[in-house]
Amino acid sequence: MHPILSFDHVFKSYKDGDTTLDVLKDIDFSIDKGEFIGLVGPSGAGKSTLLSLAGALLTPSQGQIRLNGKPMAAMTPKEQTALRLESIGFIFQSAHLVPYLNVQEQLIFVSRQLGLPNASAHEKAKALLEKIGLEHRIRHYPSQLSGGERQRVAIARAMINNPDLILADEPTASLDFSRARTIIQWLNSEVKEHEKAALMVTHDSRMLQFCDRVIRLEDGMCTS
Amino acid sequence: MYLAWKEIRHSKGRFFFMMVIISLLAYLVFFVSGLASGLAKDNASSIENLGKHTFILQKDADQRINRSALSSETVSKLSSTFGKDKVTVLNLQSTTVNRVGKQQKIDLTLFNLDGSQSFRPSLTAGNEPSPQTTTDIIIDQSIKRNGIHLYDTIKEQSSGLTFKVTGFTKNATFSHMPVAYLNQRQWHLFTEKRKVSGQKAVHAAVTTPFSLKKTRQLADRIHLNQNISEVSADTVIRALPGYKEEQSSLQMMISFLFIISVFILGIFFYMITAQKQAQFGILKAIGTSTGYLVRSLIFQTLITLFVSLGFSLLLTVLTVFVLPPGMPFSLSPNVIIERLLAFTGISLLSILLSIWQIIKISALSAIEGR
Ligand SMILES: Nc1ncnc2c1ncn2[C@@H]1O[C@H](COP(=O)(O)OP(=O)(O)O)[C@@H](O)[C@H]1O
Ligand SMILES: [Mg+2]
Repeated sequence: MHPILSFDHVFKSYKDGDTTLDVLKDIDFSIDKGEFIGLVGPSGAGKSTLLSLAGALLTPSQGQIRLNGKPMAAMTPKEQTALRLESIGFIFQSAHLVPYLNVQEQLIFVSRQLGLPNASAHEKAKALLEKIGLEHRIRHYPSQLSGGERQRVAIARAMINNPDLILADEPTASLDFSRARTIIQWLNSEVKEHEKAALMVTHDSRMLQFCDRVIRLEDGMCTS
Repeated sequence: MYLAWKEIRHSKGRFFFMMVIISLLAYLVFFVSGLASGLAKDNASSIENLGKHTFILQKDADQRINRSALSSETVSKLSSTFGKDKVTVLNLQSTTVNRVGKQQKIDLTLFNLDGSQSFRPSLTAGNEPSPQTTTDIIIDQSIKRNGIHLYDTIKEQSSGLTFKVTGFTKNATFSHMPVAYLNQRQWHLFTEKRKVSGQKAVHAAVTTPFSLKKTRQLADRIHLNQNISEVSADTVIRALPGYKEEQSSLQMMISFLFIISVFILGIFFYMITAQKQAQFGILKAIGTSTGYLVRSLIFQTLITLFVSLGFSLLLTVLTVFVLPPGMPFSLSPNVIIERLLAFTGISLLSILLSIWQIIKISALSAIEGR
């Protein structure tokens, strides 16, 4: 049985003129099915870099990253894009919704790219929006939503493709505590129920109580 | 093309604005194109009617048929080499006439075609004159603009001959003048009356249905006292006085309109793509392929273009209805299709830069702090 995501002695460094900046050093961990992992560390520690590596947006300088046992480095950029569409759900710090799609269209767009017929794409979007309490907003455009609502739509968008791996970079930064807690609890239950894996960067220590494990990054190295 | 279509629906205003501009540009292109071929017809339709023929002119005439003078000897040698049924002798003379009883002078060109394959203009009004008549002629209907009606009598000024207009034809003009077709007897009378003593009979051109190449081969074998040149009808038309100037200025306008369209479309799509850099980064990060985004852009471009072209064609049709009858305007389906293809081509060219923009946007820009 493979873990969903595994980092195998991963290094990442940026070349900046003559000097190289070692952002991540010897990162080694794995996330199993049903695990919800928190990622913390001071700013500049390399958390976003780690997330980008996990999402095949960056390639490691050294070491191997596997998703469901498959090494990502062996894939073509096209295959990596398809992988993100099919198996990964990204949640960013701000919602980054498409301004000219209404709430349900944000989700239908992803489903359509996966080849779902229109009717079932509609149904799926409606069911998911009901779950996160946005069914009364389905025809609203992003500009008509509050910050918190937008972020919830973004989370729904990340979940609509039923991803194996959820990568979230400070997803609750724009939500108040009670909303944040509801959403994270829901994410957690999704992970548990459907045997997904999640890696969430957060600055809010109150959110760590919902995590099964916490990875601490300091100076580019894992400390726990 | 879900994304592309949703954006057009949502940003109706800016796309509509763009369509209006492209429609107007395309309308101008169609209008000027119609004017160009209309003027070309108005200038040279009598030669266009002989379009499939090869022309043999005097070499010193510089391809100008109105300057060309072939001697009778040359013509008869050509005719015996090519075969009598393969040559038509073309005589022409630009002159002025006036309606009998009126002072107003009218420019026209007399045409005389002698040969078995000679071209007969079709009538739009009146009757075909009898072959042996010395008085009845047919003239291009554009002479109506000068107040000449069917069965009016006109007087040719250099010879003093009078003719009765018994029929009108169309598409028979030369250097923007209406053409009057004279038969052999009429032409003979005309040259006799005009003849300055000692002058030999001359002919403007010999035409033949042979290809340019074949004509050259045949003509090279003949020994002639005068130098001749073989040219296509197209070359003759382009050498008509004023033809090149007229056409090239209009063609230049059309080219500029195309260039302006490239810039306007290009800048428009460049700007909206630049505005969407961050959005495209996100879309790539969540798994939208670059190909899908590029196809969306092409789809939007073509939608904008085709709606605009449809609208401009509609405007053009409406314009044709309100144009005054004498206005030289002619737009053939071929020209329309050619322009439509040109617009499609240039619109795709104009978005190359935007396509490049989309390709090079990194999905990484979705992650905060990059
Ligand atoms: N493209 C890049 N080129 C050079 N340095 C970079 C690049 N991206 C990030 N860095 C550096 O890597 C370090 C880690 O960045 P990041 O992963 O964003 O940290 P965090 O998300 O933990 O705040 C920072 O010092 C940052 O300046
Ligand atoms: Mg960060």
